[in-house]
Parts: sequence; structure tokens; C-alpha cells
Amino acid sequence: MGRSYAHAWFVAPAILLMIVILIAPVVVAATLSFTDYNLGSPDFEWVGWKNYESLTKYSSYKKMFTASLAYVLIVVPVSVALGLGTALMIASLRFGGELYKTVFFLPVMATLLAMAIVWEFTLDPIVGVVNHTLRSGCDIGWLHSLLTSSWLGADPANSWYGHGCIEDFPLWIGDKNYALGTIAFIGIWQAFGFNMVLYLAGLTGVPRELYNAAAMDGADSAWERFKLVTWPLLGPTHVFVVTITSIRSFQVFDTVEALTRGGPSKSTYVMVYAMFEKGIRQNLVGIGSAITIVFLAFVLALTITQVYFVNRRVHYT
Amino acid sequence: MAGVLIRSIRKSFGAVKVLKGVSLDVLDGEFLTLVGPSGCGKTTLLRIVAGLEQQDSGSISIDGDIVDDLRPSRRDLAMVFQSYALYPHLTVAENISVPLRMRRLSTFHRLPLIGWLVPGRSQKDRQILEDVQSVAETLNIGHLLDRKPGQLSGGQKQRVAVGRAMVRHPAAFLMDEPLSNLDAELRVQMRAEFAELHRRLGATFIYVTHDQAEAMTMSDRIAVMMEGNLLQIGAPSEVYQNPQDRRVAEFVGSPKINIFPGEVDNSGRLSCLGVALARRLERPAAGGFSIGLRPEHLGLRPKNSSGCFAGRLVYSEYLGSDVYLHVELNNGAMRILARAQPFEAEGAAVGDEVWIGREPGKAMAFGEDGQRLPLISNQTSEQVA
Amino acid sequence: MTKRTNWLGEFMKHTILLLGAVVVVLPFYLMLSFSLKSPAEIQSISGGFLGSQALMTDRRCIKEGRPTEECKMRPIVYNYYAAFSEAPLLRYLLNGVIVTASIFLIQVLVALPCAYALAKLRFWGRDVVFGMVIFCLLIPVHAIALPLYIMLAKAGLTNTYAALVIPWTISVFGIFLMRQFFKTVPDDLLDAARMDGMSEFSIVWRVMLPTAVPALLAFGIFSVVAHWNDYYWPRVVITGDRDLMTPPLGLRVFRSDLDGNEYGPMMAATTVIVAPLVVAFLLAQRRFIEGITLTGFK
Repeated sequence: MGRSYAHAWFVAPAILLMIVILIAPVVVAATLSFTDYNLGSPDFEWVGWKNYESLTKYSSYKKMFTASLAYVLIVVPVSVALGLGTALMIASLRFGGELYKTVFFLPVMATLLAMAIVWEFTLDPIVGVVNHTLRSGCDIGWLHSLLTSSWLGADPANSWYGHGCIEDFPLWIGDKNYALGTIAFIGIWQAFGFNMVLYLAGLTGVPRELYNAAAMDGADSAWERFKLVTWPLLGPTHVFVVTITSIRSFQVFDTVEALTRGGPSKSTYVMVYAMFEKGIRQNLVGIGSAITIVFLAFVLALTITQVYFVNRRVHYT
Repeated sequence: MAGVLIRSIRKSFGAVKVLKGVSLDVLDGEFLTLVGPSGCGKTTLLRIVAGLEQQDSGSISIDGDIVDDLRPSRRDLAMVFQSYALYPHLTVAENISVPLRMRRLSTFHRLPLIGWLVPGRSQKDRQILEDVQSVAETLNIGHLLDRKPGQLSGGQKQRVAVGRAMVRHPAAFLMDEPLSNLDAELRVQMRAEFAELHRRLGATFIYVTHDQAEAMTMSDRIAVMMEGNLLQIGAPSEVYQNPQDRRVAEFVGSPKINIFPGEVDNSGRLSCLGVALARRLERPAAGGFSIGLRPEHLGLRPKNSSGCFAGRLVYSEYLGSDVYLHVELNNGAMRILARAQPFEAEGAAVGDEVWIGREPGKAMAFGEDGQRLPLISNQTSEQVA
Repeated sequence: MTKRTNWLGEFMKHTILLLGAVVVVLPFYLMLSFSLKSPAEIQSISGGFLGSQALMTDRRCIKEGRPTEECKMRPIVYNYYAAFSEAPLLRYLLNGVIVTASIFLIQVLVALPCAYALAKLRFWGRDVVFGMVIFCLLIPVHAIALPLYIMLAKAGLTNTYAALVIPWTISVFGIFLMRQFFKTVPDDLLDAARMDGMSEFSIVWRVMLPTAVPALLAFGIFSVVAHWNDYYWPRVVITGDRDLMTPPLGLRVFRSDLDGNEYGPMMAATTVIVAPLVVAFLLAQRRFIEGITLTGFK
């Protein structure tokens, strides 16, 4: 195609946009992370590693890393396990599988922010359906004794449920012991259907003949066949699902911004929210940029791990 | 080693009757091939024998014991699959050792990590490794033991699949089109290897293929199946020379047999496209019937020979050792295929009029229902060449 | 292996899945139900799904000094009427359509020719460009929101449609996806088009575009769902100006404006915003699942 310059016209807009929109901001963030820049003032000073030192020094940033990591460490394993579990069950059903698939995929489609607001109402300590239901269980004798283990002779007040009946149930997003767990629950509720669909796709890629071979070879129980065939054959799917869920949960923002604003006492102060609050609302661009760079490093590390696994460990063909 | 008895097996998938009552005795140590066009039910039958599929009725017994209620792994059979079905995440050695590990190691032994602490584990592992190595040596795949299936060629995968079947010395081997994923050259080579393997192991082989040439070259006996029925079982030569059904005659043999409508005159003499035959029907046929003539029993004859099919040569297929002549009869209403030696065919050019003659006594007659009709010599003394 | 159906196992699986389905559906159910019921019924958690639909009085209407009879209405009417009157909901929806459509169109306009060049043309530097695409795949746009915001602010573009659209105009994922797809288009087809006298430009738009419709459809669903539902980026670049707000952002503002217990209108607005995609999904499930899981494309 030496005589034609068509390719130049074809790739130039994309190259330009990639540079301006994706690569330049990384450079800008890296640069600003060494300054005390803020929007509105014309001057700024180089501050060296000060912003990064702040990230390690102040307790609010320690809480930020803790909250982000805890969120990821709850959401990833649970939503991956739920995704795999439901996919396995749905794939083995004789009827009704499509229906469950549709239902479990609904949260993936729905606007997360909107659903976060609905969850907020649902978990409202006073008029919320969840606490209302929990409270109404306290008055049903047998249910109360079952849930508090008092039928085994335990003191009802010592159990979580019994305690709740006396002191009222948690405020959920308003309680620093429950807030992160509640946000994580919404994250799982939203994400596991996506993982389920990826696993269902992965399952269709497992050749039927391998199950036959396993049956001939003596893998008699469902568990043996799962161990010998299903689990290992899903290798590439595992890597993909875990990576994408990790990257997505690192980016959690909507639920935190709408429900807790990082609180109570910074228990849900996740990285993207911190980036937003410091860098954009408080105009502390330097520290916000430092968080951006650390965040990018996390995402990069996750992706590189994924590429490593895809190439080394689970590449069968 | 054991024989396999198959008794009136029926199987339907929904409304489709796949097997319509098949009975078959596989003798101890024989190489039996189930052959037939795709969809004839042969693979389903094999899978029922294996226990991977449940029959609707009928029963299977192996070595005298009825196995209908046994799981596949308890039937003491090994299977080689069309796609090889190797575990892609395991090495060749691990693949071959799976059936042994499943059988010889208890659930505790197979627990991850902890399993190593259970007494007897390492000794059993050593025994398994030895067995795997000896099988690998037999199949010439000893150097591949550390590879993963993804790194193997088709032929090597094939051997690993056979190794996994061999390693536990099953009562019988079941093979489901094991050569169909190989290229033509390797397929021919593997046929010889399978036949050789069968001789060396002396085990019962039940082999499924749609390729009649594969069936003919390897088997002690072949069982021809069509539309869920077993049509004929016998030695390859027997099935070829003496097919009991028109569909068998058409399926076995390459190139395909010529089939023409047969005619019979008032005196009971047979003819076919106006050419009289040397024999007559033992009993008069109820309806119409047809005559089968194999290409190798037909040949070029001199111009204007009598008792020949006269037609126009439309295509001549030169194969080196033989030439197959495609001849149009009755102005294109029929086609006949005849074999000739290359030197005989030299004179015949496409478009020429040629005369095709028969070797006497080779024609076969089939009734309207496809059943073979016995022929007897004409009482009259005049013999048609 | 065909097993005789294990009915106990089947029953257990259905039980577990049904329980899961209840939890998954719960917020959708409550959202719809609250959008139909009167405040009193919501507060006391009564009235079932539909509520009694007893006539209620609109306090704002009374405040406006209109006669009481005119201000009586069914809760369902009240909720949805309030949702559309208290917040510029239609404006939000319109903004959502404008933004998602512009993003998708520009993405295709940029990505398609580039993907074609990377897949089918040989030129100096092609591998470098493709390497750049792969590198950019590693950068999540949400992560670089801060520098992007500063750049847009410096350019005076915050609080404009442009700010909502610009960061998403380049979809490296789209380029990657389309390139993989174009790789499967036979070269013969292109050579035939060239023999027929087509320029490279007309090949892109008249040969490649039509062959890529299925892939584009999946990518379109992926893109539209992502940007309709996106809250973070609009939250960053739109401050205050309601006329530019996208549905999720508008909903968020509506939520903070509410005086506490106006759950009905709130849930009505939520329903209106969530409904378009959910309904589209229910109508074309297979396509949607395909589109959303595109990120699983290798």
C-alpha cells in the first residue's frame, strides 16, 4: 500500500485521541503528584515525594487503603464463588435455567446509582423492609428461639439476633462496623450475575467427551468430575473473572458516594472516592494525583498478573 | 479379557428411534467393528455398552455378568474417544495415570497435600508411575510424558488416548471413531498399528467407524448397521462378497456397486438392462427386484461383443494401477462403473462407444425390500459368457 | 452421561436459586411497589405490592391555593406526576440519550477506520500503533478522571456536553474488538472491492461497516449501557447545571433535594431511569448478555 496514505487518515484521529485523552492525563497526574498545584491559583511549587509520604503517614489514607482492600477482598471471592455456584447449578438444571439467568443478570443492567438509592431505602433503620422484617421476627416465639439458639439453652441476648431484638438492629450504612460490609453486599449483588454469565460461557467450552472420559476413568461422583474436569477446564475463565472483578471493585464509587460519602469514620473511604473528594471537591490536586498514580499501579499490577497467568499457567492449546 | 453380549438393545432420543433392537455377540479377544453411515446408531450402541448412555430396553453383559446397572467405571471397559478427550491441564503421564489413580488411591490418598501423609501413598505412586512408563514405552511415547496435550500432534494425542485406555488392562476396549481426526496418511498408518496392538494385547476390541475401508482392513468381523438395525455381521470378506442386503452391498466396497433394475421373462430367465444373466432366481420375487454388479466384475470388451452393456464413455478415472470407466447407458438414463487395467483402457477415449462385459456368476439379486435373493444356475445348457 | 433425573437434587437447586432470586429481585420489587404506593403505606410497610390506591391529597397543590377536589389523586398518579414535575426528569432522559448516542457514534467513527487499518493495511509503524492500543487498554478512564478534569477545566469545558462526551470518544477496547473482528474478514473481499474501483474510504464505510454490524451491535449495547449507567464521570464534570445532568446524576440531586420521606416520587423517578435498559434487556436478552460480556472477548 505504499502509494496510498489512507492508513494515515484512518489511524491519525485514534492516535491523537489516545495521546490526549489517555496517555497525557497519566503524565499529567504523575507530574502533578509532585506539586502542590490547585485549580484557580496560577503558581505551584514542587514538593517532591511529600504527597506520597502523606499517603503513608496519615491515618485517613491508611483507612483508605484498608477500605479499598477490604472491599475488594470481600467482593471478589464472594461474587466469583456465587457466580460459579449459580452457573454450575443453572447449567445442570433440567428446566428454568434461562429464567434464573435473566433474573441474576438484572442488577448488571440496572443503573447502579439508582439501585443504591433503593437499597438505601430498603436498609433504612426505621422504615426499611430489612429491619422491619427482622424486627417482626422477634415477636414470633419459635423463630426467635431458633435464631437466637435459645432453644439450645443459650442466652438470647448473647446472639446477634437476640441482641438486635433488644437493642434494635444495625443502622447498616450508618454504622461503622456494618457500612463497608453493606456496601460490599450491594457490590456483590450487582456483580455476581456478570460473573455467572462468564462462567456459563466458560462451561459451554468444556467438551462433553471429557466428562465421558472422566466417567470411564473412574470419576464417579459429581465432586470428582468437578475436580478432574470442570474446575481445571475453567482455568482461563477463573483468571479473567477474578481480574475483571478485582479491577471493577477497585473502582467502586457510586454506592459509596451516594450512601456513605466515605463514612462513618472513613470506614468506606475507598480510593476512587478519596481521589474524587481530595482532588476534585477539595481541590487538593497534588494528593489526588498521588492517589491516582497509586491506583493506576494497582490496576496495572492486577492486569500484569492476569497476563502472566493467561500465558503461563492456564494456556492449554 | 471377555466377550460382550448385546441383547435386543432399544434406544430412543425423544421421538427418534436410534436403536431398534440390536443383538450382537462380541467374542472374547476379537476385533469387531461397528460400521455404518452417520446416524445409524453405532456410536449410541457403543456408548450404551460403555454405560455412558442408558438403554430403553435390552441388556448388556460382559464376561457373563449383566452390567446394566453398573456405572461406566465399574464395567471394566476402556474407551478411546473421537476427540481423544485428554485432560488439557494434565501432562501426558498424568493423563495416562488418571484411571489408575482413581482406582488405586482412596479418597484420602487423593486429598490435596494431606494425601501425601496418608500411609502407603508413595509406594502406590511409584507403582502407578512404573505402569505408566511401561505403557508409554509400548506406544513409543516415553519421551512425551512431561508434555501437555496442547503440545502434541494429532497422532501423538491418539497414542496417549490409547495409553490411557491400555494402562488398566480392561476387559474390552471401546473405540469411537478414533482415527477420524487424523490426516489421511496417518490414518492408514494407525490402522496397521491398531491391528498390531490388538494382536499383541489379545483383548476384545469394539471399534466404531463410518469408514468402510477402515472397518475392512482392521477387523476380525464387521457389523454393518443402518437406521438403528444390525443388517449383517461377518468377516470382512464374507460381508463384501456375500452381502445379505442391498444397503450393505452399497455401503461396503469402494467404488460403489452398480445397482440396476432386474427383469425376468416368462421362462424365469433374468436380465438386466437387456443383458441376459447366467442364473435365475431360486424363488420368484414378489415385486420388483434389482441386480448388483461390482465394478471389478465388469470390464472392457471388444467392439460389438454380445451380452454386453453398450454405452458411451463419459469419464475415465485413472488411478495408476486401475482405471475406472464411467459409462452412460441408454443415452444417459443409467450409468455404469467398470474397472479396467490401464493397458486395456488405453484405446478408449471419452465420448467413444464402449462395450462393458461381466464376469459370469458374480451378479447379486436383491428384492424390493433390499433382502438378498438367492440365485441358481440356469437349467438350460446354454451359458452366457 | 444420561442420568435418571435426580429429582431431589433438582429440587434443592431450585430452592437455593429461588432464594437467591428473591434477594436479587427484592430492590426491583420495592422500587416498583414504592413508586405505586402512598407515603403512609410506605412508612407503615403495608398495602402489598400495589397499595390500596386510595385517593390522597397533594399538599403542594393545596399550597398553591387550588380547591381540595382538584388536589385529590391516586398515589400512583401522584408519585409519577411529582417525579416529572419536581425534577426535570425528561431533560435528564434526553441528556442521557444525547450523551450516550454521541459517545457511541464518535467511538465508531474513530475506531472503525483505525481498526480496519490495523487489521487489513500494511504500513510502517502499524505494530507501534497496535502496541499503543494494547497499552491504553490498561488505563481505566475512571482512574484518570482527576487529570482529565483538570485539563477540561483549563480548557474551560466543564459543565458542557463536550465534557461529558470527550473522554469517551476514544474506545481502545472498541478498536481492539473491531480489529479482531476485521481479521476474520477475508482479504479476497477487499481485493474484490479494490478491483471494482472502491477507494479505501469507501471500503471502510461500504464494505467493512456492513460486515461488522453484529459486532457493532454488541459493542453498541456495551457502550450504551456503560454510559447510560455511568454516574462517576458526570458527577465530576457537571456541577450545578441541571440542564446538563444525565439520569443517574439527576436522580442523585433529586434524592438530596427531597425532604426526607418523599419515597414515592423518588422511587417513581428511579423506576423511570432504570426502566429503559431493563426493558430493552428483557426484550433482547441474548444480545444484551453478549454485549455486556464483550469484555470477556479475547
